[in-house]
Amino acid sequence: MALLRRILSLGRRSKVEREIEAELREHRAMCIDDNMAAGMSREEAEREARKRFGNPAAMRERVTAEDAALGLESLWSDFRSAVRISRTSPGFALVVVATLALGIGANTAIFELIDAVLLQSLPVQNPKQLVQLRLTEGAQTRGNNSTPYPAVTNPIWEKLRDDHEGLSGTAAWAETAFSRDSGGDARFVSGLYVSGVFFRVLGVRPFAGRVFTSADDQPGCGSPGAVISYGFWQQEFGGRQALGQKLMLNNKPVEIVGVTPANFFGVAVGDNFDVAVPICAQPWLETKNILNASTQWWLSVIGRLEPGCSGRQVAAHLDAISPGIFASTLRPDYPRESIRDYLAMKLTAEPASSGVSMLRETYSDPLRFLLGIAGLVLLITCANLASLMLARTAARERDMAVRLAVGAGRWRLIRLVLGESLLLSLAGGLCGAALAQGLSRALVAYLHLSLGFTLDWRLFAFLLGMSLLTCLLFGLAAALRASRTAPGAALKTGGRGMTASRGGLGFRGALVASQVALSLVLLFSALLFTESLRNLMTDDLGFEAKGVVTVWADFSRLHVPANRRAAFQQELLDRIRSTPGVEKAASTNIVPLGGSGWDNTVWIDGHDSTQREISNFSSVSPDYFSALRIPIVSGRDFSSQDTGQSPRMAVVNEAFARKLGLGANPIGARFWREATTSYPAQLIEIVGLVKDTKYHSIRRSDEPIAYLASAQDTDAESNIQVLVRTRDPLDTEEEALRHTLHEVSAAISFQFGGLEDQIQQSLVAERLLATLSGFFGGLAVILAMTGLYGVMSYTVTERTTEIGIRMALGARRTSITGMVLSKAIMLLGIGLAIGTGLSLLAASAMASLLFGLKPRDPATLVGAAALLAGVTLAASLIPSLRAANVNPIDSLRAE
Amino acid sequence: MAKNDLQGALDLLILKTLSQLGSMHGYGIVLHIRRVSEELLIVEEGSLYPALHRMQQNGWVRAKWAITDYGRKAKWYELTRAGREQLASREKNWAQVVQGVDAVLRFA
Repeated sequence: MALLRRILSLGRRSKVEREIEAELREHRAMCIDDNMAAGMSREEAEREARKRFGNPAAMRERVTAEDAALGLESLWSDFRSAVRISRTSPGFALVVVATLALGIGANTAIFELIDAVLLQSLPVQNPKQLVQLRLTEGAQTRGNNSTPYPAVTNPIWEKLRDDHEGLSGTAAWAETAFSRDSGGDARFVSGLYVSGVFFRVLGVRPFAGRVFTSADDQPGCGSPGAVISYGFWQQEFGGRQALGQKLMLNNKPVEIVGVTPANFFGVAVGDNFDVAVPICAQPWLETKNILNASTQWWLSVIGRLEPGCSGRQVAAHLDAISPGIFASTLRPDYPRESIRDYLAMKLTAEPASSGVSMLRETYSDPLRFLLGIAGLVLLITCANLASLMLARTAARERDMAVRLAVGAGRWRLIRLVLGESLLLSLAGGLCGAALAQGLSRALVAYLHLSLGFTLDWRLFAFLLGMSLLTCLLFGLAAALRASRTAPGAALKTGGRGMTASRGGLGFRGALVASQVALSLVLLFSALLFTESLRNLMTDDLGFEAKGVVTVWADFSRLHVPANRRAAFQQELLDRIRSTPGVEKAASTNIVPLGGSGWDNTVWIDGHDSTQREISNFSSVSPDYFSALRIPIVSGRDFSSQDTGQSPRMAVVNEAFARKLGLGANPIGARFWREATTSYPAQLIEIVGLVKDTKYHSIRRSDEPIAYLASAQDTDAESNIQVLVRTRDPLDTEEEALRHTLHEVSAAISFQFGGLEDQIQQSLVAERLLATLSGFFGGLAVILAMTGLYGVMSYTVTERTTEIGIRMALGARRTSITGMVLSKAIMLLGIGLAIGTGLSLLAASAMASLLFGLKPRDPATLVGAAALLAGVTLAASLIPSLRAANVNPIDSLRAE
Repeated sequence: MAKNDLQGALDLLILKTLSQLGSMHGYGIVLHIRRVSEELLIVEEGSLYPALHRMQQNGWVRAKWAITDYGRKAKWYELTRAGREQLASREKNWAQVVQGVDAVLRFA
């Protein structure tokens, strides 16, 4: 009731105030009447009444405080006065809101990304029950690993499907790409091969139509039907009826049987699937049947725990049945030398509630680090705002003192200052939220991810907490200081005192020193990441990627018989070589640093096959080395005379020769390559030696590579990958190549890319770190600069009189400047000392993210410190010089 | 233990005064308390009006403007039902406070 009445009286403040005034006036009048009745003169009576009554304004304020809705109304008026104050000094408000928005926006954007990549559970039923079944860490699988996720072969999956003790069900899936074009520029959709019960195990119900059952996933299922994602349905059919429609996938018609709900993206965070088909359709959709191979590791397996079963129990069971599973799934295609390793492999289970993710492995460390950096920026922002607010409060000390003197309560003053900071931090928070939306979208686009952001309550709480925390952090200190001011003292010292009070500046000094310290940490890590990125980008790859176009062409629609494919590939390569602008062109099955790899065990002829080394391989055509400008040290390149009939030969790099102990001249030496799916063990003669190049990643050096002659391959596929060195700009060359390929046949589909771009793209996490930490580092330096500038100019203003007296007594201008500057240098020195300690601590956390330099690189630390010192000193030089220009007469007269 | 300690005494005095006089303005309340207590208790205006307005907000008293015997316009306060209930409980509390304080003072 009381509260209701208070709310009802809102907005009637002026009326209430008038009434109170009338009541109190009448009270005084009655008092005077009585006094006069007791025999006083009118003057005496009035004086007596006033004495009893005290300060009428303070009295009215106190009665109003009871009436005016216990704060509700006055909160509104505080807010309004805060708006008014902000409007009179828009510069201050703008700076505060902008810095806050940047701080909060950056934090929220990175938190959103972390939330999507690391924290969110899969949008399926009871994600906590999901486990991933996989080989134990370090298993030496031989053959083809076509997925970045832990995977098993189809024979192993079939065992896991049938024996799933402790699990209510298991499901397998593999990512793939289905071609959707019929020649020309290639178009792909993201595909999923899934086991029959995949959707049932995950608990995903169809949005329309149906999902697969185990009846859909039977051997030899032929055209099985497809389940498409909600996103693909919208994009391809615009939400119109899709069930029963035919989709062309790899040139095969597949009927759509169902659509999944909008929030289901698959099991891999950061990837989106368009079309899912049962695993049994693999032989029908692709040229090579891999369902019965024990060298094809392509299926990832998840399971759902039975109620009451733990992941550990399942892992123990898997460990126990592993020998049986591997013994029964060994197929004749497995390399004989590695059978012992195969039989010794173990399976295990681990939690998979948030899905599997390459993103998580690639970006988890950088993202956590960025969140730390963004947090530091927010801290610096707060420190900066706190000192700004303090300076403002100090400037308004006189105003506050007057308010106190005429009867304002201390609590009222605190609320006034808090109201202002609340207003500013809410405005900053709102702008930050808007900024975060843009920033996180830009981040996702930059990283080429498909991630859905949902604005959930956690994020909202995070944002709100962030705003309120900053408000409290930077507003409370100022508010408390304002309320503690003794009105008399503040009025007496007037504009400025003789000397600065030590206490206030001490706290502000500490704020500035901590700002400098944190800025140094940020600047140091920014420099480290930038340097590391530069090292990665300028690292000698061993080949020249600039000016090289990668061409991928698929001619499976032409149905070239297997024995004619090599010749057709040769014809395509010749046509590409005669295209205008082409300097050199060579085919290869592995594009260096392109993400794919091929390795086999090798050993020197005559040595026992147990002394084995693993080497990388590439199957290349003649001119490969000249196209990539890889120097040939000795021996020769492949030539057109090398054919399937001539003895097997290889060109190796120096790391290969070193690893196998072949000395400086390995030409003529012979080595064995282990038996594989398609070949028995081969004896290969080395005909050339080339310089080392990077193969898997820039971060790895000394990778042994053996190049084989592609002309000696017997099972050529119906696609070809060509590296073209061109004299023309890449765009022009791509257009010319498009024309050439189209001329050969309209049914060929193709894709182009710049080799340099591809390599740059592989550094995206590093670039993200360097760019963002550089941005934050710059921001921190600017904040530290303004912080120090603010404190110094405040000091100078405060000490103007003192400086005037010193100058009147004969102090030189230089010594005045020195006096002010020494204060700045002291703050800077303390900040840098603390910052150095913090930087060295932070450095150890960065070690794994850096390339080509030590995390505690002293040169970088000194550089960062020098940069910070230079910039901030320059900023404090301005107020110091202004101090020297104080006119002693003016400053003394002003007193 | 009585929850309303000695500080609640002012509220109690005002409520009791209003229950005895029926309806009265602020100045009258001051005079009444002073007279009845034989000048022992003098309520300050600085405490009286905030207390009256708080009671009004709480719904213990209601107020209306009326003319005094001497022709001045004044705001007259009178108890509501909630106010009378409040007074009853305050009186009981006060008795306990007095009893408690007495017991402490008599302790030998």
